[in-house]
Amino acid sequence: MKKKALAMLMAICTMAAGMSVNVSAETGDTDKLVVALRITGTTPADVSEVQDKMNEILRDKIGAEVELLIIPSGSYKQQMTLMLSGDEKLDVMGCNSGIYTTALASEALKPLDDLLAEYGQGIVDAEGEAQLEQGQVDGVQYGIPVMCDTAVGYGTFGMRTDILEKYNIDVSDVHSYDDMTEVFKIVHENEPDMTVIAPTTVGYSPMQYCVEWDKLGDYFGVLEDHGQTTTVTNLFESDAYRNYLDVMHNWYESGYFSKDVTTATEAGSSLMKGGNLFCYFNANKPGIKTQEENSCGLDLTFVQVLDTFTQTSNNWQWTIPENCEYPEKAMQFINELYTDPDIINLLCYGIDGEHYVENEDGTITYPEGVDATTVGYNMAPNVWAVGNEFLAKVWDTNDPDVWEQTQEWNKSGIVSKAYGFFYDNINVTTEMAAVQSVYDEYRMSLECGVLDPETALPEMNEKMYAAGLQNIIDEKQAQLDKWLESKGE
Amino acid sequence: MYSKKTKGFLAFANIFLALDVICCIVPLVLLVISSFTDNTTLIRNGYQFIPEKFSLDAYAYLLKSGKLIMKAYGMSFVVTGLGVAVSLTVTTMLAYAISRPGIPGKKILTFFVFFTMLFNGGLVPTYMMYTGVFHIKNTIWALLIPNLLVRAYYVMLMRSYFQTSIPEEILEAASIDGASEFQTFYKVSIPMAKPIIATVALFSMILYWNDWQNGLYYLTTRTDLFTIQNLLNRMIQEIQFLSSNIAVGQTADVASLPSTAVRMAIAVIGILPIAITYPFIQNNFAKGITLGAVKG
Amino acid sequence: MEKTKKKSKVRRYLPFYLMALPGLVYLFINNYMPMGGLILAFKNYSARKGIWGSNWAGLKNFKFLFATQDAWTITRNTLCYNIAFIILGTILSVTIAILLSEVKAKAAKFYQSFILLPHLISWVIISYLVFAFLSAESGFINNTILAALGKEGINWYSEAKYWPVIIVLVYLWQSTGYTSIVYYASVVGFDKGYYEAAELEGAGPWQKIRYITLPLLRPVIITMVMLSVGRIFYSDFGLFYQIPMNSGTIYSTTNVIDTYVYRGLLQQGNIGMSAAAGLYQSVVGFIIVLIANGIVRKIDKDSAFI
Repeated sequence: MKKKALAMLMAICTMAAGMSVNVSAETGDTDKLVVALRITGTTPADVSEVQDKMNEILRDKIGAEVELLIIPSGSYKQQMTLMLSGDEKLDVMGCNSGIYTTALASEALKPLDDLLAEYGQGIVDAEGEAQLEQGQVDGVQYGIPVMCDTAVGYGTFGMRTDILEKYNIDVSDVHSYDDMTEVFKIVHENEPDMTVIAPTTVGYSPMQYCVEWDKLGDYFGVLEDHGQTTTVTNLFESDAYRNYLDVMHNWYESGYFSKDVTTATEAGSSLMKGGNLFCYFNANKPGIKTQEENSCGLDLTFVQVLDTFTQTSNNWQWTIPENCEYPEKAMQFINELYTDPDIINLLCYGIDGEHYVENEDGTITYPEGVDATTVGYNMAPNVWAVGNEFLAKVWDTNDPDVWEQTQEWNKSGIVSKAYGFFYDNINVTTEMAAVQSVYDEYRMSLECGVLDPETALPEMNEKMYAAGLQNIIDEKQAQLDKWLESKGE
Repeated sequence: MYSKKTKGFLAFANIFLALDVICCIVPLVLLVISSFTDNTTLIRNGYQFIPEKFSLDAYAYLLKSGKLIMKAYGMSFVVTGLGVAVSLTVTTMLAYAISRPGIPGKKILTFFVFFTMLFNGGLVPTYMMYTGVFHIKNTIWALLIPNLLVRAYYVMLMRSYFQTSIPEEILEAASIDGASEFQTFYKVSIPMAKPIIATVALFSMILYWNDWQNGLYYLTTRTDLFTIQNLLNRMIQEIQFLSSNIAVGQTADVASLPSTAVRMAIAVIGILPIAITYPFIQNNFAKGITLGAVKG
Repeated sequence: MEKTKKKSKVRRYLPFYLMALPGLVYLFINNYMPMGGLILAFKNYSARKGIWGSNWAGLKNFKFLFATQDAWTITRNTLCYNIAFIILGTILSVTIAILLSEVKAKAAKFYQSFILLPHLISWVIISYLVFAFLSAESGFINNTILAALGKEGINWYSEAKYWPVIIVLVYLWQSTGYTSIVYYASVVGFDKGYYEAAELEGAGPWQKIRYITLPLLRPVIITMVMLSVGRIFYSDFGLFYQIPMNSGTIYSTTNVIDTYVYRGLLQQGNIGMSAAAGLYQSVVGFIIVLIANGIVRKIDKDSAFI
């Protein structure tokens, strides 16, 4: 009896040991770069195959391999925070302005100027000095902004085309929130069981898609009127924000949002895929239709009701954390992401012939018998975050010249006067934490329309001022004035 | 036999306890029924005890997407089995050692154990140490070691059991008969401490089986090491996680994923093993809890 | 002579040290080594310079914590919930234990096996359960109970005022079975002689409980309460993190020190402040234990645990 138990224990131990041995056995003798990137939508199944293909190229070209750390957007920030806090190996990290700011505050990012000069010529050539400036803080390069659409078409709604057709709704004349309300009204009356509208990302309110101000990094102190002023003011007292809240509250009260909107655990595209949602928020750009249809598997119609607008520090950037083991190789790898179409296409669409096939006009599509729901690898929704998206192949639901359109698009719309300015919150970290925690308390419920802005908004403002909001605004104004002066305006 | 007063009291006691039992199991019944409810019905009518339409879709889906869930299930068993075995061995030895009288430094050792109940370094330093110094991130050790292996509370429970329930004379006698300390421990003390060992084993089993935090912090890339609890926790964030990990071509109709019912079904199979094991150790359990706690 | 004695002493006790070693090493690694990290509470953490090389921040991180109402809210929530848990939990589980001891043994075993069930279920699963009841859209309470009463559905996850009740109920549901069995087992162990004597005197069931059971149970109750008081500054992370589903609007009544530290760390990436909050928790918690222990020592010397 005892012997048996002992034998079993041994067996379990061996099993466990075997499992962990596997982990260490994987590392070969080539330098291995751990690359973290975020994915919206679902994690692809065939990552390791794609990674192997990429490594075949990378071994020869830069003498290194990559290990892709693909993390869903819901937990990306949390995982990056943990990884940066320890001395865990992380060689290349993609980050948005939120993660970037936090990482800078704890000095977790390497300055890149020397590396860029030595190994990043391809990046400089592709991107141009002006655009690279977006990744500088006080003249020091910490991030490499990705090349994608920089102008954002705010107030964009992606709706199910089949439902629109079913009820003969014409959306060609929809130009305002009020027009959208009319559309929603018809859908809600006819499809009472269907959720009419949902936020796009789990844990984020739709407000990030309804921007009419330059948030200057973090929403606490903004430039109203699409950044056409240079006076920093409190967003939460602005008319534009109040108007947004009133619209959302009206939609919530009318039953267009799910009552569980604040605790939702599924992204807009997932809900749509599940068939119980009519519309979700989006940011317009050329190719948006393909991007979103690939992730939800339905035919969508898009309308935009707010202005197209370019604000500052809104970029996705590649960074090299302090924990990086091979900074030179890391920069060389980033360089590939801006110059090598093979690497870019592998990362975006997977393996040619297996995950996509090429059409005669050079665009690509799913192979025979494969579609959005069965494909083993497709990061089409993330093409913009890959580096130089203009070198990526074009999905065949897009116009073949979609990248030219994008470059045109970036020149369109309003550009904030603060474009290029980076706000560093190091002097007001105490206030930041305090104000942020007030905002966290209200953000979802207020911006998803659950709370009545009439009462909740003044309450939040009062608490924010008590937590030191004015200090943040003053600090921002001072930094902005200095930056404007340095630009000679 | 019983007086009228006593009878009335008995009736009251039985009603009260029966109500308590109902309160305890009603939510679980709702959970089980939801897992057997048709998903569209679930969305339209909400969670109900008597749903309009029953369906086995959720379980059928689990069977089809079996690999991921079976694997997580297997991991739960391996982690729990291994964890309980090691944890029990280490805890018992430590408790026994600090229970014996006359050992130099016994007070210090006891306090060393006890102090960990009052003070801790917190999440960040613990995480930094385990990933930075011991490199357990994305290995199975991450599920076994942090915070679960030895709990001061259980050591103290066992120690007081050894102190109060095993007469020193018996151990002395074994010693005089020429048994080494290890033999005495193994042949005399352990058999006498069975109730407390069974109790701590069950505690430890619940702890390991139900733990989801270690997976949350330490498993980022190796989702293949997920236990059933990690899977459930991940699915709160993204139900699609399940569908995306199904091998291509196996089942692809994501639109028909009965997401809400599937969650409930996974929850049901997550409870099952504990619920099945529990009646067998229930007696020892109740005995052990008291023995430890009263003298703790 | 002296030497051999020493040697034999070492040989005599060596096995015990060897037995204790693995456990002690583990506790050292798992519990003591990270304590060094509490120094982060006084640092401006810089990944470039590491824990030890980072600049000193003085009390800046604590200023963070106390700058807003947060420190007050999380302290109040942690303490109030724990006090409610201790009081209600004790009353309820002692009641159940006594009633269990009064009914027939077979019935007691039957009841016992059911009321212990919730204790075996993880918080993740319990959060699914609670959501099934409270979901605004499809929850059982809104859809069935309130609808039957002709009342408007309530948006449970955004109304802070209901959560003190919900959290306490969920806690009691999960834990009472376990604690009541602790009490039950001691009640069963009491000397039957007392009760027989009381019956001869003509005492009814209530009197027996009042004059025999409760006084005998007192030391057990004190021990159990003391154990809870020792953890009064800590809370069950799973209960407070999973059950409210991270809904911001109800932070004012659901945020406790443990969840605050977690969010500060993982959502704001604020390592220094998280460490400060952790240190605050440890230190104040420790002081409370010492005070409680002192009080108990005065009332009932045997029950004090230090």
